[in-house]
Amino acid sequence: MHTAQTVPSIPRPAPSSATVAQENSGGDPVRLTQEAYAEMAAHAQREAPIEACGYLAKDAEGRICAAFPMTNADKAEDHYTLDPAEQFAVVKAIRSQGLRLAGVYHSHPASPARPSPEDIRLAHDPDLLYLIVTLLPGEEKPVRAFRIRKQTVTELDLVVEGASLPGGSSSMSGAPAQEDKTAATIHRAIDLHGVGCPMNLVKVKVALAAIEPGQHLEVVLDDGPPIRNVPQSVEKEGHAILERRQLPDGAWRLVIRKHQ
Amino acid sequence: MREFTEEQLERYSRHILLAEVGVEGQERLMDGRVLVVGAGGLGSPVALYLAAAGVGVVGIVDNDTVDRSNLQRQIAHTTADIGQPKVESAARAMRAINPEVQVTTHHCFLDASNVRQLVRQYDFVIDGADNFPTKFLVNDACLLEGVPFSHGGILRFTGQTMTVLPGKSACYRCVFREPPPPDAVPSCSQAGVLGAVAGMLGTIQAAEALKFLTGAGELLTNRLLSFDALAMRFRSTPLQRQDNCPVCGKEPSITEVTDCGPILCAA
Repeated sequence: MHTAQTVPSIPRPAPSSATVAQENSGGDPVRLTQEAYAEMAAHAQREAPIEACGYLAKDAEGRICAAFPMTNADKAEDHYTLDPAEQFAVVKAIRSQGLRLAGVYHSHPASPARPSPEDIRLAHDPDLLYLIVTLLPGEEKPVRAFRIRKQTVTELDLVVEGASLPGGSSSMSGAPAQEDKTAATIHRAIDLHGVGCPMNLVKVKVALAAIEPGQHLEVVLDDGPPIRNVPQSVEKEGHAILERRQLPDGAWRLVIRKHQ
Repeated sequence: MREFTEEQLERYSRHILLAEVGVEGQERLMDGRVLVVGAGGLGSPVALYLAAAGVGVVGIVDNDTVDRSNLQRQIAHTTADIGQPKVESAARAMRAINPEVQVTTHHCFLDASNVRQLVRQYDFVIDGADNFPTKFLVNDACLLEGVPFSHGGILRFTGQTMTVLPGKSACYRCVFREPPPPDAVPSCSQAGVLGAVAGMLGTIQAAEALKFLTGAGELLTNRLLSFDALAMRFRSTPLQRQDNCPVCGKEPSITEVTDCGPILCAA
């Protein structure tokens, strides 16, 4: 019923992901098979407007190769809970297929693929990957992978293996037909909704300290004093603001390049 | 990178916000070890500020107990501490400010037998001693062990301080060759001292220790900073290393620490 045919209507992963992986100096990228991505995306579409969620499994090579759609016990449009009754059965199914639990995915039907404060608060397992799929049209990265440890979010590079470009069948490892050179690769992201001055700047500085010079930090800041003060202070310390855009909720998204 | 807790980010936020300190500087403070010699007028503010700053290990050495006459300037101690060892009283005050700091107390006289093995355990030493023999002892031990330190002294309304990087900048003996004869310079207990002058000088020493650990700014080396709080004037006297310095000169005569005189005063 819900097959890969539904996928093309969902924004595709940025074809520049292969380049992204090379730029990432910190560790290997997360590899996701086209099948697993299609399954997540299809699940996200059929559950919309509520959030879809499920487990992800990896094979012996560490590649995420299967998505296991599960029930969102919250049946909510802005949060999710994996149905506890299903969790045991799915983990068992993953094992019986010779796979291992890799992480959790969920969808953001109407917001970007970025962990919400609640997603961060409820991410209890430091070893799991958290993948978020957005249904927002025109998103540069419709699926993103995060590790969330002690409330700190690190975005990991994500490569969808064997992803075909719209209307074509060439694999991503082939010629990079449509590289988007303007989009900034995000190496770490922090959501500072509700965090006032000066703790928002403290958190930006901590996040910048955790990435390498030249890498990019995505920050969401509240409107008002935060957007007036934080970018100024960040620039004064020699970092560059690459992007600055107001979000529908009034908050601001910045992309900061750490000074060399 | 060290993982800061939310509480640590809040506690140290005003350091992290400083461009010259930042996350890395605060990490260096938390990895730092400082020895405070004397838990009196100078040692009190130094110990409290180092604890507040989150310096990893603060050692404090003093053989004295708290006397009522100390309380006018030795702000780490309270009336309830009278009769208690100063190191214990100071450690309590430091832990009350910041339970994260590891305070190591040394309730003993600093002398030639223990000074070198004590200072070599630290990254930086604060001389807050109240007598000349101990000041020279700390200088010699720090130079022989290669441990940077801050010299400080106060009397009446005046204070003086300098920071010494062994082998790199002028040391205390480059400037003051040997202790003055006993009774040539009155002690605080004879001459008196304005309480706040201890805070003025001690906080300069604490700032030097924090700058040394974080690497921020320029240290007070090759300069003797002195002030007179009556006129509220500060003066910076340029200094340089002396080739004939008995401890850091070309042909040093001091190659081991010795107890060079009687302890002059107790308060």
